[in-house]
Parts: sequence; C-alpha cells; structure tokens
Amino acid sequence: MAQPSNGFFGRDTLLGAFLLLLSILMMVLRFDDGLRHLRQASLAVVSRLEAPLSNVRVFRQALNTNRELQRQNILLQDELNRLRSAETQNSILRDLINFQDGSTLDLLPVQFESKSIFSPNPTGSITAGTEQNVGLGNAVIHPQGIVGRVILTTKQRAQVMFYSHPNFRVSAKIMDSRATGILRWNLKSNETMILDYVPLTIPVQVGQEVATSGFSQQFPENIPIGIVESAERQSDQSTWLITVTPSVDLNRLAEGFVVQNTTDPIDQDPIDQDPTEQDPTAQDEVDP
Amino acid sequence: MNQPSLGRMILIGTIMLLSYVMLFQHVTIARISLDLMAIYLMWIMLAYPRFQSMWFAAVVGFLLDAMTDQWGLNMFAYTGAVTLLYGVFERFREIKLLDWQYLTLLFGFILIKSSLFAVTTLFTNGVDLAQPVWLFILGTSVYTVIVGYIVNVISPS
Repeated sequence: MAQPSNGFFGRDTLLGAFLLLLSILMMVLRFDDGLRHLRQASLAVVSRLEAPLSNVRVFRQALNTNRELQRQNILLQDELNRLRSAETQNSILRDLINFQDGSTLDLLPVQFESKSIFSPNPTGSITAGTEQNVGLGNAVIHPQGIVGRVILTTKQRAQVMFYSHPNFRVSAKIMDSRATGILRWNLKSNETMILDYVPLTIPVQVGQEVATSGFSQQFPENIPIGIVESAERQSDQSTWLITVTPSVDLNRLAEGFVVQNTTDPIDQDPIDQDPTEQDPTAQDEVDP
Repeated sequence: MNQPSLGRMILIGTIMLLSYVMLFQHVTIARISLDLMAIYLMWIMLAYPRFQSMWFAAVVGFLLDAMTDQWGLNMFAYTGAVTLLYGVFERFREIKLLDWQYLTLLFGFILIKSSLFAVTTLFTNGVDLAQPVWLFILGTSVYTVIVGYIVNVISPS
C-alpha cells in the first residue's frame, strides 16, 4: 500500500528539496577541487566498465578497416593487373618497333583480329588490306619468326595462312650449314614442323637455328623459323627427316608485320581474282 | 500491486545502470541516446512510496552523473521529475496498467525529465546537448518510449 504523503512541509517534500539542492550544489561545485577526487574515482570505474566495450569497438573498427582494405586490395590488384598487361603490351610493341626500325624490309605493322589456330585450316585475319598495299602471297612475320602468308585480301582486311596450315610450304635453311630444304607442318605431332630434302651428307644437330632461305620470293632471307628439335634418317631415302620447333607461338600472337614489296609470281589483283582458285582455304570468310 | 523486494529492485537497477553505461549510451540514433534509467525509475514509482522513489531517483541520478561526468544534472532532473509526477503515478499503483497507459506515463515522465535536463544544461558550463533542445527532448522521449514498450512486452511482470 502507498504510504500517505505527510503534508507540504512533510518528510517527502523536505527530502525532495534537499536532494534538489544537493544536485544543484554538485552542478555548481563540479569543477571545484571538492569533486576532483570523486571525478577521478568515477573516471577509473567507468574506464574499467567500458574497457570490454572498447575492445568490441576496436574489433568492429578492425572489421570495417579490414573490409575497406579488402576492397582497396581488389582495386589495387585490378590496377596492378592492368599495369602489368600494359607493361607487357608496351614491351611487345617496343620490340616490334625496334624490329621494324632495324629491318631493311618494307614492313607494315598489323594486328590479328581473329585466329583459328586449331581448325583444320589454321588461318587468321589481320587489320590491313589492299588499301594498305597488302597483296596475295605477302609474308607475315613477327620479330621471333615467320607467321604465315596472305591468302586473301579485301580493302581493309586480309586472311593469313599460318605456318601450321597443311598447305603451307616455305623454303628454309639450317643457319650453320646453310643446307636448304622445304619446311611444312608436322600433321602427326601438330606441334612441330618438318624440314624435308636436306641430304644425309649434311651434318644436322639438335638446337641449330632454321631460317628462311630466300629462294622463295614470298619470304625474304634469314627470317627465323625455329630450332631443330630432332633429326632422323628417312627410310629408303638419302635425306634427313628434321623436326623443327617453331619460334612463334601462334597462341600468343597478336601483332605482326606484313612484308611488302616482295614480287610473287602468283600475286594478282585481288579484285579480279577468285580466291577459291588460289587456295582452298580462301573459301573462309575474312571479316570477323 | 505487489511491492517487489528492495534487493531485487536494486539488483535490477544496478544491471540496468551498468548496461546503460557500457552499452546503451553508445547506441544512438541521429545522436539521440536512450534514457534507460527513466524506465527503471518508472517501475520504482509504480512500486514504492514517494520517499523511497525520490531516494532511488537521486541515487540513480548521482551514479549516472558520476559515470558520465555530468555532476548534478541527472540527479536534479530525475529527482525533479519524480517529485513532480509522483502524484500521477501514485494513482496507478494499485491497478494493472494498459499498454497505452504505461506508454503515456513513461512518455510524460521522460518528457519532464528531458525538459528539466535540457533546461538545466542551459545554465551549466561544460555540458552541451549537441543538438536543438526540442530535438533532444522529443527524440529522447520517443526513443525511450519505444524501447520501454519493448521492455514492457518482454518483461515477465
């Protein structure tokens, strides 16, 4: 039961007045020395009470920081990858420029827009055509070696037969001995080339460099092709069966040069020419 | 209403005070914090006579002041609010409160307490509400009433 109040000047009123006055006194004296020790003690107690929460706060802050750092890490990783890609591209382009500057050939830089490396007739299309004086039979090379030759042209595009095409042939020589032969793609291994018609009288060693001989009017002399991987005697023949590892990796190929101003007897006006008569692979479409 | 034991109420008050200092004073919405001890003092007023209620208000206010370094402000506001409103609360001591009655009483109490606190800060150096007075009073009141309602719903009695 509620206890009755005891009048206006009763116990409750006096207590209320006392407590209010006390609180006002504390407000007035809060910055005085009288409360200093009390404030210090309360500060110590509150600090101890809030310590666990501050750990939670620190942990929460750490989580937020971690989340932000992860986000920044992803952004930085992305930026780093783009910079690395740009650096690689820079290096490739610098090599191409150096190669072009150091070469006596008339080279037209091109990019490969599409490649069909693993199709039965490996070809690719490049970003240059008859308007850039790209003609049928023009050699396509890379600073590392030969790539193929042009088999079809339009005004802005051209189709290139890669060295891995079954119909691709090029006259080549072993750099040390200057022994020449005909190079073709090895259809059995699908990774190497075969150099035929090198006589057994010519000593062949693994690791020797193979380059174009210059006997072909399409490919200038001394353009690298690859490295001798193995050499075997052909049965019932007096020639070597030389396996050559190509220098150019078609998988990574993105840029190259068209060698211009080479006179090719099969070179004709592409507008008047029926591409299907030139090469069976020319039936493919050029433009992507 | 059955009067709960003093020890139990002191224990509940201690727990609420510590939880407020350690946690709830940091849970702010738009820089408005909860006044958890107002809910506690409302329970006290509904359970104990004026004399004990004023002592509870003063002690709670004092401890809160000590822990928040606002010496005298909360003590004055709580004691003043209990002194002013105890007569109203006294009428509801013997009945079971409906929800709207409970919320109205709580809202009135926290409104008076916040007003006293806000007015007192105007005459006190070193304390700043950091927001408009009306926003402090209304925000604290609404926030506390909402939490008070939730506490009332989940509390056993």
